[in-house]
Amino acid sequence: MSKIIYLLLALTYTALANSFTGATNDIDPPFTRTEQRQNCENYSPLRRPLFGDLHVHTAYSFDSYVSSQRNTPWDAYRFAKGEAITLSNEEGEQQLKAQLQRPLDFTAVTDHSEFLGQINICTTDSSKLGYWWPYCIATRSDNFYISLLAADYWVNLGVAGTSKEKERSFICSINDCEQADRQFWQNIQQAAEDHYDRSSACEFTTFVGYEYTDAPNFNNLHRNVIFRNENVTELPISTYDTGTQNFPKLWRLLREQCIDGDQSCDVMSIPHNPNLSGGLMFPDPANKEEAENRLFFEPVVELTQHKAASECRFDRLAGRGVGTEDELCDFEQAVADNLSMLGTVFGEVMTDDAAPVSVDQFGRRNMMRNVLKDGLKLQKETGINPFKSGFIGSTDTHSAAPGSAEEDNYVGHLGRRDAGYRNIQDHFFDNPGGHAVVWAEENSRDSIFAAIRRKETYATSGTRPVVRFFGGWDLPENLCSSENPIEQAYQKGVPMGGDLPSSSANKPPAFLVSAMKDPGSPGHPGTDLQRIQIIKGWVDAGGNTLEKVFDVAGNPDNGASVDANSCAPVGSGYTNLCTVWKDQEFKGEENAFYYVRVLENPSCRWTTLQCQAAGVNPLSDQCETQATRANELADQKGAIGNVYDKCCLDPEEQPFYSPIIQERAWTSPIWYQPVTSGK
Amino acid sequence: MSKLKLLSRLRSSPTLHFLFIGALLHLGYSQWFYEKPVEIIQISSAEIAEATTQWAKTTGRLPDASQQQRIIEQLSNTEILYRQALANNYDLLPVVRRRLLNLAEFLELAPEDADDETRYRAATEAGLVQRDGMIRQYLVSAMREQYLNALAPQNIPEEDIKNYFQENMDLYMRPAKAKISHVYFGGLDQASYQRATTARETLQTENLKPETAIEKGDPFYGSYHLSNQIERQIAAQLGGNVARAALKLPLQSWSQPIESPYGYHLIWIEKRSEASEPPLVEVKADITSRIRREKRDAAFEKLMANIRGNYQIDLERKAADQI
Repeated sequence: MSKIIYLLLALTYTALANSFTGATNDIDPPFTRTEQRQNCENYSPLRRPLFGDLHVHTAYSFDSYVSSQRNTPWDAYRFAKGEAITLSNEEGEQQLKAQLQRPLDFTAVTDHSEFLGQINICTTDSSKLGYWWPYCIATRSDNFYISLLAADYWVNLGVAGTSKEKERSFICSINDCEQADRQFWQNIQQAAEDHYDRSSACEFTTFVGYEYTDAPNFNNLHRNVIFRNENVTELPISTYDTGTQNFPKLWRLLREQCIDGDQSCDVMSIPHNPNLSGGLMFPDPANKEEAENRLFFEPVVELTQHKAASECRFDRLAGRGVGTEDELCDFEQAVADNLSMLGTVFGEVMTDDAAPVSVDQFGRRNMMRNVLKDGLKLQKETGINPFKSGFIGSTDTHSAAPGSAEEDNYVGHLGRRDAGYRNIQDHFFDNPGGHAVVWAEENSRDSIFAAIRRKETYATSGTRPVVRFFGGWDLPENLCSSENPIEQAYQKGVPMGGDLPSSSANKPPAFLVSAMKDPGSPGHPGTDLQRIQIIKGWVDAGGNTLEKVFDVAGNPDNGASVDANSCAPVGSGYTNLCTVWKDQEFKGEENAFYYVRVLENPSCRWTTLQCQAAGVNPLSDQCETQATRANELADQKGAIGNVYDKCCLDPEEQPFYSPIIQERAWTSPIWYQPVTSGK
Repeated sequence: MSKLKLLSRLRSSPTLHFLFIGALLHLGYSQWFYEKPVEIIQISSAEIAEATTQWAKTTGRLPDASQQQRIIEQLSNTEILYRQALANNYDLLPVVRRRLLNLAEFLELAPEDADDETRYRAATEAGLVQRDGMIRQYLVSAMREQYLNALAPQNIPEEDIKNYFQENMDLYMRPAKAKISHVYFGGLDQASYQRATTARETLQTENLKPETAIEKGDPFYGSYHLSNQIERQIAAQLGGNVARAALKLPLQSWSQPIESPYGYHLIWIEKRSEASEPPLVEVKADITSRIRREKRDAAFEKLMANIRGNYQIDLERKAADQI
């Protein structure tokens, strides 16, 4: 008997010691290990937040190269790990030094699959015949106008067209595009391998990926395809394989060539910018297979990035939103609803297609809150909710600068096209992008991929607050003051991205939400938190989709602001917030989702900081005088057009823009469905 | 005639002497004094200018003298590899044949109904092996690949791996790590600091360990325990001050209150490992690959330098003056 007791004690001690020390040799993690690597020494059973960027372009992408960007996938990974790289200035000279204030934990380089081989031929080897083809010469040109012509050529050739069969460049008639494709694809894999930390330190993770780039009539239907490990498809599947406006075929081909083709191959595709999709990103699924493929391949959406945010939309001037009355939905919006919004040169919009779209004309499903609501409705009608998307952020940098979402360290994301003064002049309404944040046990591919699959993720608009969100039927009200709130939350509830288990007891669900401010870095302190909100969406008995925003912690009227001259914070907020909130309006028969939005105190937008650095203060009543002077100086240096006029835009005359913003985070939703409501 | 008489006649014949000495001279000359004609490689100033421009575009600056020399060497190497490939019949490679057939069809070098052999012959007779840029690239790549494969060392001695590891330790060094716990006091005011200071006295007096000490502080919604984390990882969760303290303060005792963006923390450092060398086994594959690549590339450079010695590189006058 004493031997049995001794054995039990020894086993208990070992289990406790291992859970405390993070030793992984004996731990069976809750995710499948699909690759060869050392076990991570800093395994965290309760998971920790990892910050990354899953949308990055290098000189392998046509639109990056024509913008005088010359950094390769290797350089992008070095940047993500905290090293400096060189970027183009506004004249196309490789002179700007860029470096993150804080490195990332993970990154994927996602160059465009379309034209990979063609850009290889055009840019790397002068002994190739195609290298000397006129559009290749234009692609390499340092002349700003010629490079714009080249960009226009590539976009019209294989991105924005609407024909089912995409046309290949003439280069492929005189050179072997497939071989060139293969070479660049292998380089992308090699760069990811070279920078992936497979040691027990687990300091940095890379993923092999690419961007599937479909944009019929400039309606954005792009997806970033991310592979779980080094087992990938032979070549990236592009719109040349699927045709345009046919992303379900992308999923079918990924299933054939990866999921079903190789047992150790796994992959997901992450859509981005539904705000620019002209309403086409989330159509009702054509059939059950399409619904199931979307649910499997697209667990999350990139909610925010350089080309604006897609949570929800509220037009201040119109006084109403797209399916919402939430006034905080004016955050980082593009006025247009398609990719033509990128075509601004010397301060002038170059195409009518980039004209502002009114609230009434704006596609409902361009905004994810509406998509989530419509998903609940489809669930009621068909038994399947095809739109159960979690949230991440990223940058979509075309400057090979992943994680460059720091408002006070923003070097632009489009090479020379938004370098220096051009950022203010031509890309004033763009923003630095955000972060993908995952709650994972360790910094490894399997752990992070599994976290994204189960949607235990959140998006930030560029800062690094730490946010937890759980839902359950039995979460105690005093959970925030208990000594192990997170452990209890995992035991008694589901984390963000999860589904509340069905319950026959007619009681409201409880939600634990905690947020800690961004700890900042030396010289760059984080901003205090203002409040936490929970957004609920549901379908009522009449089949109507509804939403409501609840303030659950913090204080919206704390009076915090910024100093008009220095942008220093004025007033204070919260270093952390925690609450357990119960939905007292809950009705057991109604499908619903809940997600968290955390708001920081006000801070200056990047445009305010850069305008002020040029001597033009958007917050001053002398702004226009200052802008005139600054324009003259810029003119003397060779700028064309009025560079700094936009600095003085009056936010009261703008539907969305504001010189002062509130950075934020959005968690993946937690879903509830009544017992009889299907999948 | 007897043998003696024959020998006597040979010894005394001037004609035979002449022939014999001449044969010796010819043999000696061809072995020791004859110079084979040198192959010439001509590089035009336009080629140099183009290569230099490409280099400048990639690097963002103009090459200095040694870099410019290197650019010219690369141009020479490309030409040499091309000629070597031709000399080794690499123009018979399937990929080259396919290219010639495609070109023959595209350029209509043969009748429409011609068979492959006819088209192939037409393409080679048109000099496309010499004139087509893509074929040239195939040949250069194939020859380079052949050399690199032959020169890549198969086995890297253990000694070399160990030496490389020691000489490049800064690449592989593992940063210091700590396993810490903390007791948290929310708020950045004097009252919080005082609470933390008072709590510390209690923790020390009662000799409380982290598991029970945590209750003496405020709830913290991040992690109370961070295991085996480097400074950057700790800073990402608790700020820079706590991270720096974790790598400096004494072990297994409660620290004074340390300020973070969230308030004050009493830190307990359970254990700490200093910056260390990783086990060789963890980095051996990486080192082996690097050494193999370096040796292969060095051997290739040496080979090409030797081969270049057999050629005369003629730079166009204008380009030569600028070097």
